[in-house]
Amino acid sequence: MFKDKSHIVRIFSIIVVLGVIGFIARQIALPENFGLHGHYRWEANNQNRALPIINQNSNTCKSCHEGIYQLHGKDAHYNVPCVDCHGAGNLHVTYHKDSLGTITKEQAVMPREFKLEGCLFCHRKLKARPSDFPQIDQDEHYKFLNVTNKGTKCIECHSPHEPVFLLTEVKQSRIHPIVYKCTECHNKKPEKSFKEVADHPAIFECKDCHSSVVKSFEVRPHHKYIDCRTCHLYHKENETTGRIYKNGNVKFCLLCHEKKSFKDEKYPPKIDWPSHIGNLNIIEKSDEKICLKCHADQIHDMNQNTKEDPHPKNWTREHKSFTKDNSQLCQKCHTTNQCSSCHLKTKPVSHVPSWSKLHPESAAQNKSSCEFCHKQNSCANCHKVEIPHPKGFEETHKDVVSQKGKDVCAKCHKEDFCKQCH
Amino acid sequence: MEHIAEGFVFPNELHITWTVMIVLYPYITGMVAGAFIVSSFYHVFGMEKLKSIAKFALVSSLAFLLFATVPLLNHLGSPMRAMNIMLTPNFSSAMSGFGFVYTFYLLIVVLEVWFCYREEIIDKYNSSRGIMKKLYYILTMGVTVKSDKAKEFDKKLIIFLAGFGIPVACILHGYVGFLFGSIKANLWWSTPLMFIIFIFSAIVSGLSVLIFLYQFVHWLRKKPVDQECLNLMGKWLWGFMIIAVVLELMEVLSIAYENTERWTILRELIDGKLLVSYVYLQIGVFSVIPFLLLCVTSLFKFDTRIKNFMIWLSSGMLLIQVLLMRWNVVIGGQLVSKSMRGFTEYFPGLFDKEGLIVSVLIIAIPFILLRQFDKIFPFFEKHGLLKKN
Repeated sequence: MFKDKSHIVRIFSIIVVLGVIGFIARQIALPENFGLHGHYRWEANNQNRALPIINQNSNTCKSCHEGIYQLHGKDAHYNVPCVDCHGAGNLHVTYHKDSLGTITKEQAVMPREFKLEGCLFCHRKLKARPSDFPQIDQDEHYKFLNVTNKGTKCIECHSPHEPVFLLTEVKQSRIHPIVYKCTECHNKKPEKSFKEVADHPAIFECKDCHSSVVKSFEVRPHHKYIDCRTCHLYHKENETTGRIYKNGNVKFCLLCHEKKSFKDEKYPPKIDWPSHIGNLNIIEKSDEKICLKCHADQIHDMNQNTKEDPHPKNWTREHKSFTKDNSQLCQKCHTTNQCSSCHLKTKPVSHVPSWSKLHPESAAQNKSSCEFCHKQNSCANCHKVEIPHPKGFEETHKDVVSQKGKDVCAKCHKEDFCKQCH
Repeated sequence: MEHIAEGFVFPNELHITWTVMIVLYPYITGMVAGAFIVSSFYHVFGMEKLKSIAKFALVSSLAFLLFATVPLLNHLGSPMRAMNIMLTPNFSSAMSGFGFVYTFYLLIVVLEVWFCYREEIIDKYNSSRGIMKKLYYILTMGVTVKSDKAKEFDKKLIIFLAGFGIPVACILHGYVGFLFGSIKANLWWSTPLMFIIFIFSAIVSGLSVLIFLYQFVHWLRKKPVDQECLNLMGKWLWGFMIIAVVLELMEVLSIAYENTERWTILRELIDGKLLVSYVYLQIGVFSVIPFLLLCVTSLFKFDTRIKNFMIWLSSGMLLIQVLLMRWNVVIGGQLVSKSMRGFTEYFPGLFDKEGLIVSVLIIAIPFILLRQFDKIFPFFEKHGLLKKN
């Protein structure tokens, strides 16, 4: 009887033995610190920590590529780390720092993500992306610029390290408020609803604060094709503020207006660069906004006199008391270090030891700059006479000398000054 | 590969995470469960008409079972870690649950195959020499004598294992369905009916692959088929495909009738991204045509050769139908954005790690294994299939 079942006993015995062996093997193979702080091996943390770093920090790149690092940090891609486009970089760094020669030159070559998909991964137009994030529908973008070759890569126009050629460094760009709540403009919450106020916009647009500039823009050719934010790029930083990049860089204009083999010549108007202006030396040291010197009238009114200042005329004097209670409101537009540009805690560099002799010339040119620190009557406090002298002083100075003495004059004028006339 | 998004898609939804490998995984697992259930009909329920195909079904089940996890291992990318779920089992993980069910089921199938082929192994041991004799000796577990009583014990154990294996096979494939159905964030997958749909489609794919191969092999070898067995298999295929397709359509009907917020986007999915693969191909061509063909073969008597061809054609089409069903479920569910307002795009590359060539290879390997097994232990010749109808 058992003989006929022996194979059954054997097969199940093998299964049981395999099970026991498996259990013993598990006990032996189970890492000592498994399950110490959860369903994982605790030691794995230390092992992972000890692994060589593959992805290089941007600071590592900076140590050799300082120029590109600075350029990259200036423009819109400042927060995109090098590894995103160039790969991990461990072989590249090892090749240049390791004298053993374990890495070949071919291995050390860094990849460059120049394919269309590389850029579109972040910049493809998606409704789910925040609207202020730069994003394009490739077909629409190419149609707008009359790009005839659909395979044209983004880098043909945009430099990855300086994609929009910002004039001002991103981090230094002006903070621009988003009118989000009543108290963004009003000190206290108004009693009336904005609906009850005539001509009060529901949503603030550029024209609501910059009406004359927008009006002048609306009658110029660019108005048909672009809007304010095409040039005045805006990046929302939080719910109430963002930064605005006022862009008039020649390279920015060339994004649309430079002749390229892959663009149709008809529209928008295109030029040969740099032959259009002669040679690049003209702009290297002088002005990056050279296009605007001749073509500003094609965009909008850019006369400084029409610049709209949101503050009242006597603001320089009045802002002190306002700032005490509303410092946060100031910071909607101004960075905190902008205060220090006027309110220096130390003497300005111009105030050298011989400043008492040098200052009349500077004061004559720009007296208002003195008044950032000095009170309006501080000149008179020192000079004991109105400075600069009012009209008709030649006639009345005799009385001043007789009352206050010649020493008052001697503070500025030499001894023989009187003899020039008398 | 370029990804084209439509409507509102979150940036992290642009890329499909579960690729064509995850389409193959339920497809192969389905064939395992389906083939095993067919073999159990003979062993457990005594359906003598299926005797000709019972062993073939059982071995097919084992062949597919051995490769059911290959797509997963390729997808996950670290096969050396596969055994870690046994070393450090995490019973709260739904994913690892499949590993335990799979291992238990593998044990049942291996045991059943061994008991079924024990006498053949003893015969091979007796007729071979050298290393092969030693190999067969190991396979016999040292018991090289046949006896009627031992055969009876074997039969009882086979019945027990086959009977016990049916619920385990259902759990195995139901579990695959559960893995999809339990993901409540996915609009297209989240339904408790998913595991039932998966079980029935598994039986359809199991029956189809058996009919397809059975007829193909006999046509190739110019041998007559067991007509009674084939007729019965054809009728069963017809019945199970009706249940599988109706269940799936009723699920869609139910969502449509409820008309909750998810239907708006699912209607767009069915009417747009899945219009060809689901509406036209899975339902329109590869469900309706086999249904009509099997209607005719099951309800009417006519020329056997035409009838057999129609059954064979239906089985081939239903194999594609189940593959399409897996595609439409696995990929379709990932095309829809969680925002319920947009879609992404996916099609596997040809030479990718998880591309079409690798997929074809993974599908082909179990068939190659079956051919090799057939060379050592022929499936059909010894079971009276040579007699003419």
